[in-house]
Amino acid sequence: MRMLIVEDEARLRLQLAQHFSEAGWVVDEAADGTEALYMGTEHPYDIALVDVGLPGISGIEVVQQWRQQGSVFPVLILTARGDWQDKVEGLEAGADDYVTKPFHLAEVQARINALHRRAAGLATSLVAFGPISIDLAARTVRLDGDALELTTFEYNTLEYLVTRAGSVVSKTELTEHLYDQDFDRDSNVIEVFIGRLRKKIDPSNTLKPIKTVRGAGYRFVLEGDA
Amino acid sequence: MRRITASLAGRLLLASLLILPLFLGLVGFNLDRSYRLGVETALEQRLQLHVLTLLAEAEYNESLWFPEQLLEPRLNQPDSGLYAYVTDPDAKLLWSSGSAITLEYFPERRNLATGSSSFVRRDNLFDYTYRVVWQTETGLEAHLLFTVLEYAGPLEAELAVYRQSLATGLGGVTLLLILCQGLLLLWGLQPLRGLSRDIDAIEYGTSESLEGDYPTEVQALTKSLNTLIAGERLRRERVRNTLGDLAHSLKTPLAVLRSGDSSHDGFEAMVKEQTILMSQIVDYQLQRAVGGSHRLLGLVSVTPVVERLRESLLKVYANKSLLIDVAVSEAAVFRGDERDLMEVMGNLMDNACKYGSQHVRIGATGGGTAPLKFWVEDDGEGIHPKMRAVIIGRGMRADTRHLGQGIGLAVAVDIVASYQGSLMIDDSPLGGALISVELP
Repeated sequence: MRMLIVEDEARLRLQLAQHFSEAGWVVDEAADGTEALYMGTEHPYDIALVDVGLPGISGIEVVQQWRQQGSVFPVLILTARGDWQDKVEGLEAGADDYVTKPFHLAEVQARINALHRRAAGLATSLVAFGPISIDLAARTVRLDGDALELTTFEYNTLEYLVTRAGSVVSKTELTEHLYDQDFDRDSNVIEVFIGRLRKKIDPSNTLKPIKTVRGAGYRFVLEGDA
Repeated sequence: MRRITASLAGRLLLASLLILPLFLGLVGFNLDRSYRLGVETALEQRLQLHVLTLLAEAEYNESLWFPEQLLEPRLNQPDSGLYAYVTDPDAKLLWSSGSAITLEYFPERRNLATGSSSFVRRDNLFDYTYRVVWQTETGLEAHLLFTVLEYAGPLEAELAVYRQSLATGLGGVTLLLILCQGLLLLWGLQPLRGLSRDIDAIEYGTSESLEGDYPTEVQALTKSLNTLIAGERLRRERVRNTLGDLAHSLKTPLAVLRSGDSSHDGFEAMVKEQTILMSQIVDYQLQRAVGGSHRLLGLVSVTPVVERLRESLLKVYANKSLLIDVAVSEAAVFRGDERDLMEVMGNLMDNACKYGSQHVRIGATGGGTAPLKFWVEDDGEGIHPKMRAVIIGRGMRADTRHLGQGIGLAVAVDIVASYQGSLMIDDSPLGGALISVELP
């Protein structure tokens, strides 16, 4: 999952980036509005965390311009001023939620998870596909109730496919969402992850949850439990 | 010029100086024209009378005949300024008066119908001509033109005297009017100068408000200024109090931190707890400081504020699938700062969305001259009666208020109190809390 963090205060930006990297997100950073505008329109992010009080182009203007240019990824705004006028202006500009400073990283994490889940059209963080159950908040996967040991990339690959269950996801799209902007796009590492993932979540090779669509990509084919 | 137009008195005086001479000039022109027309009409009538007298004196048998001495003496006296001629229609001179001996007069052909007359000015002479048909005793008809001329000099002199008198009179009136205008401006603008002095007095700190006996036209302005001044004073006081409260309330957790033993097991937890408390205190005091007392800012319609908040909260609480019913009267208005209304409504609606299960209801009535009443209710667990007094903080100092129950509601209570309003917590028919606010 790929996230853009827009914060001018270097120390806070680093803290957020470290936290979300450790939580398994692929994180890109922008220190001002101009850079954020460019990155937000150039890369397909899954979510963005934007500070309102940026120098030059404000965070609210950045979100507004992203929306005008058709970006639909969820945006969480960080605001130092907690008054409702500012919150409403941010939400009206196109943000989906807000967190006021100072904040606990756990709170930001929870909001990010909720937004991400909402964007995927899931009501809860726990989703099940037959014997496979995934906790999107805890980032854990169980098979018949037993916890599976997945690497961060394997989990991210699975989560990306699961949140788009039924749709074909190309290798390029997966690469863009699972790796940062400096990643070598020609690598066939995605195929390796998919192979390992299939063995872990379907060791008996009976479920066949991830189907390869030749020339197009992959598709998670299991239907979610109601 | 800019200095003159920058002042009200200067503008009015400049306008008078431009308009009055123009106006009085037009009056003078019309008076002169009317007078001239009157004088010329009188002259025409006089000349007509002379012609009629000549007709009475004339005789025509074989030829035209006049007595040696005419009834009008000026016609007998050479160069008297009044002259008479008789010509035929072909401008052939048949007779001239004794006064016309030295006058060089060349009759002209003119197309006049029998019995009609003409009155024209030729150079410096006024010319009145009357055409008649004379029937002689032998039965012949003679067409004759009787002309009387009068020198224009005396009439021009009379007009010149009149014009001079008129110019003097109108000039005097203009000066008098401008003088009066100046005096009127001095007198009329005196209250504004007084107001300016009173505002200076407030600026220098020798007065606290505008208390003069101002004219009714500026009373609305002075009232608004007094409200603004009072509002600013209250705001300053509020900020000062907020800073005092902030400093005071931060000292307790700071003291706890300073006196904490870092080698103790619970030190880290204690630091975390105290920093959370300090953060809450800063949030609370900052939000209190946002609220103002700007009664001057006019009327704010409640509906758009509630609708904006509703849309925003539906976004924030999208995962709860909330039903937010709004029954706000279109006429409901808030007298004050829009940010204050947004802050109170935002906090109340946010709490309702946060603690409600699925249903939130917002209503408002009144405003303007009637008190504004609004309420926010939800279908959550509600607020226990014992907690209500604690949340409202009745009788408690703001900085000692328990913040754990939600900064939002405490801020709403503070802002409502700053408008001399009241906030009540009750049970909602929906099952949760019903928070109602009444503002005078």
